Amino acid sequence: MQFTGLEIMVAGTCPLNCSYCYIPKTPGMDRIHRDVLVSLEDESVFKRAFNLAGGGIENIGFWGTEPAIVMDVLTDKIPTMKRIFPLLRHISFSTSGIAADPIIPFVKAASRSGINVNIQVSLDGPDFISDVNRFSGAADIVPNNVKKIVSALKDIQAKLVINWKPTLTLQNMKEMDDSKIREYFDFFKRVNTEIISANKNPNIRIAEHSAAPTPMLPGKYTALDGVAFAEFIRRVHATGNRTAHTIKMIDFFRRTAEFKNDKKRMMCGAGNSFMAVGGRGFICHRSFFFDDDDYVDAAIAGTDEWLVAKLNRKTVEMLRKWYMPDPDDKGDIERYLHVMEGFHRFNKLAVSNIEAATLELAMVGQVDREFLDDPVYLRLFALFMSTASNCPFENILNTSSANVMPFSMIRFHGNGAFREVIKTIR
Amino acid sequence: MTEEFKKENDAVAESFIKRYFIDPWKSDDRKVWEHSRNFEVFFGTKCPFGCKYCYLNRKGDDLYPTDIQRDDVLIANMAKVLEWMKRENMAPKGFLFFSGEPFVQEACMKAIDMTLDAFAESEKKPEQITVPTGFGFMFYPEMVERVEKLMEKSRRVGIPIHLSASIDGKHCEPNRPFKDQTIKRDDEFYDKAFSFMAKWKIGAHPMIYSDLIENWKDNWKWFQEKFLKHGIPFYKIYLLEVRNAEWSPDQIGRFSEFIDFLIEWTYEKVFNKNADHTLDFIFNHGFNLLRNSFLEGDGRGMKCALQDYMFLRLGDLAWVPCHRTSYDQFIFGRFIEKNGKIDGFSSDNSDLIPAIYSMKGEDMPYCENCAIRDLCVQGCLGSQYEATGDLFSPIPTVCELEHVKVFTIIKTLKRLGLIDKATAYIPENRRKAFKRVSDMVLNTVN
Repeated sequence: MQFTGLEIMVAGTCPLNCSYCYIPKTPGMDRIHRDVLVSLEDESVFKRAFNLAGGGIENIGFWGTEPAIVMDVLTDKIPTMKRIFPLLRHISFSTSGIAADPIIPFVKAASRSGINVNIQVSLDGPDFISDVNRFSGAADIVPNNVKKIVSALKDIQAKLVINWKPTLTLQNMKEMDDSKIREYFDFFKRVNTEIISANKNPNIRIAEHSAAPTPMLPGKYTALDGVAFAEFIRRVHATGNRTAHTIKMIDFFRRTAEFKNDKKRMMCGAGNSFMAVGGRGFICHRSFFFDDDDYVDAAIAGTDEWLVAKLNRKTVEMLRKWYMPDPDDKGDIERYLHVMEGFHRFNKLAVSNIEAATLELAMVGQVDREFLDDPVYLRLFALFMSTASNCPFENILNTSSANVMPFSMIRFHGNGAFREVIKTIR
Repeated sequence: MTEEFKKENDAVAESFIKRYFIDPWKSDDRKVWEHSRNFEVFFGTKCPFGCKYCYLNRKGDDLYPTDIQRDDVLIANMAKVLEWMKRENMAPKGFLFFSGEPFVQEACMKAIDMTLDAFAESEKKPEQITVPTGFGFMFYPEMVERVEKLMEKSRRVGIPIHLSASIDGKHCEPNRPFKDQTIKRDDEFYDKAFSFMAKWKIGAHPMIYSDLIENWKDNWKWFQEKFLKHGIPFYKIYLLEVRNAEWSPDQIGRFSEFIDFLIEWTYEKVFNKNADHTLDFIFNHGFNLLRNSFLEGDGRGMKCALQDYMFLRLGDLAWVPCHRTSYDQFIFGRFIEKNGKIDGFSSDNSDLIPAIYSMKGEDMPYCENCAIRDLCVQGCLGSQYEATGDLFSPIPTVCELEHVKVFTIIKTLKRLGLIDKATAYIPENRRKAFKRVSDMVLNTVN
């Protein structure tokens, strides 16, 4: 298997504490951050990445917590990355948009090295969401910082794409009536217009469709949560807008002809096209931190925050043993790749598992009864879920197998949400 | 939210248990069952043997922590289970007591006896109780007597106990040593054991393991000599390949030689070169090792008994996928007690229930596109987890083993001139696959 992508852990602490973050903040994170910083400065993380993923890397993603706090170090390490990974053409990272200044020199340096950059900016919408979920003033500060970045990069030759990553909690969705939904989309339209006006460089692009709202995952979702999610989608559609799920469904149909034999194109590339690397190998950035005992103990102590059904020591031990390959053990890497390749390449088991679980849930009234009566509808749902909404890491944490989707996800999508999305396509 | 979430997960598990197990166990018409709905009492892991390939020997504490194997708790829980079944007027089709070595454990003997007593007067009773045993009790005459008394009683009450002898044979003795290395199986032991097997019509189920696979032709002859000596039919032997990861290419080659030998031996020594009798035996009656690839299936998606059973780890009343996969993270949940009685179920990993009970072996990753997917005995989920970290990810060496097995069967049938007639004896739903794979293998060979 030839990896083309890497997710590298570049930060272990964060100045924010967003309400839905999948990384609970614990006191030991400062120590983790210091270790991460050392691994960047002494370049050991890049060497580990090479051992785990080989030298054919074209894309690197910076993950962990907030990468803006280490942008100076990362800027210095661009030549190192280019040397170890000569095919490197693309760097991406996700930021909360709290600061523009560290990002600007990084993008300039990357551009000088012929590296395109993608910045994903976490912005959840107008102040009644962003300021509550993220930090006070976020709805103003974040777009202004993006504007500042765009304005400062009018001369870069490499491509820069900026996209939004709005995440809504179920509570956010429940609180959004029609007018607030309109306000949400109007907010992004206005912000996009302002940034596009400020942009004088044809190499910079704002991904406007990225304003489509995504739900907070994972979650211990019940049937009623699924009903609320469906109602939210219905209201969004009624305003003439799309959710991220609507977009995924359109993509699903567009790719139908090819997807049967190429499930992995519809999914993330965790353990397949990319390898995540920190102190060792990881499935993806979401499993960073799980190799740290103190962190795990503290996180389990506040387990409700982690919204994972089976988060306990045994599950974490399993995760560590099987899904954090040792960079110095080729056999372990091969084994890990075998499992992940199986997950990504083949779909029959996932589809049949989802169908079986959906039927069980339907029999006890936890998803639409329509699934019991309409096998084609059930199959379509299972195909959609197994490709467009299937996260191996979340599966492992909840069901102890990458190949088994938790009930939670099925309840969340199977109580009208899928029907609403299908309706729009029709 | 968390409370409601848990409640919903419990409701799914309870619904499944009712539909899949309790309703059939209550039903008077067992023919309506899609396939067997049995109950395995996973009693414990105590065992005098240190079998090289055994998962209890290797992973026992992870599969069944010793601190939940106290005899008094096991007996009390057995009483609760039986009381629950009696109260609900239900009886599984069969019981199976699974442990390291059941008959050298006083508590396990007692639990079996309790089961006989519980159903003795019932209109609805299990058809049988199965107990796999390594025949460790044969070393103790007083234990032999007690086992026989229990077996006699089981027949009196109409729930016969069937034993299956886990004996690997003289030539594979080092694979199955005693933990106490001063104890050895000698000819005297084997004669006692085979005499007991003959008396109670017990078959042997040796495991075909990678270590000492080169001895299996001699081992086979040894088994048949013993069978002959004690008047045991030649077919009372259930052969199963150990689907662990450790098969080397050389060992797989030796395995292939044994398969070839076994078919030829059956054709020549048993059926005097009668093609029809040989093929009928191999594909419809005979040695599991040859037949298991071609089983018709009876509504199950897996060729192992996983989907036929509710596996209950008795020490903590945990419903687990099977005794090989009872790792903490795979526990479906636990039966809960109120006032000393079973009253409800608390889910843990209930998300896994539909996946385990509905899965088809040929749908596993990689199997989906495999040439022998319809003729493969399929991997063992527990072994797959232990080797790959995922229940559903096949072990490449086991895939190789199973390919070689199917290919060898085909090639040997061809060599013996049996291939043209073979298709007619294969269950209908496997014929097309057999034809396809045969054409592929034989054309490649030629």
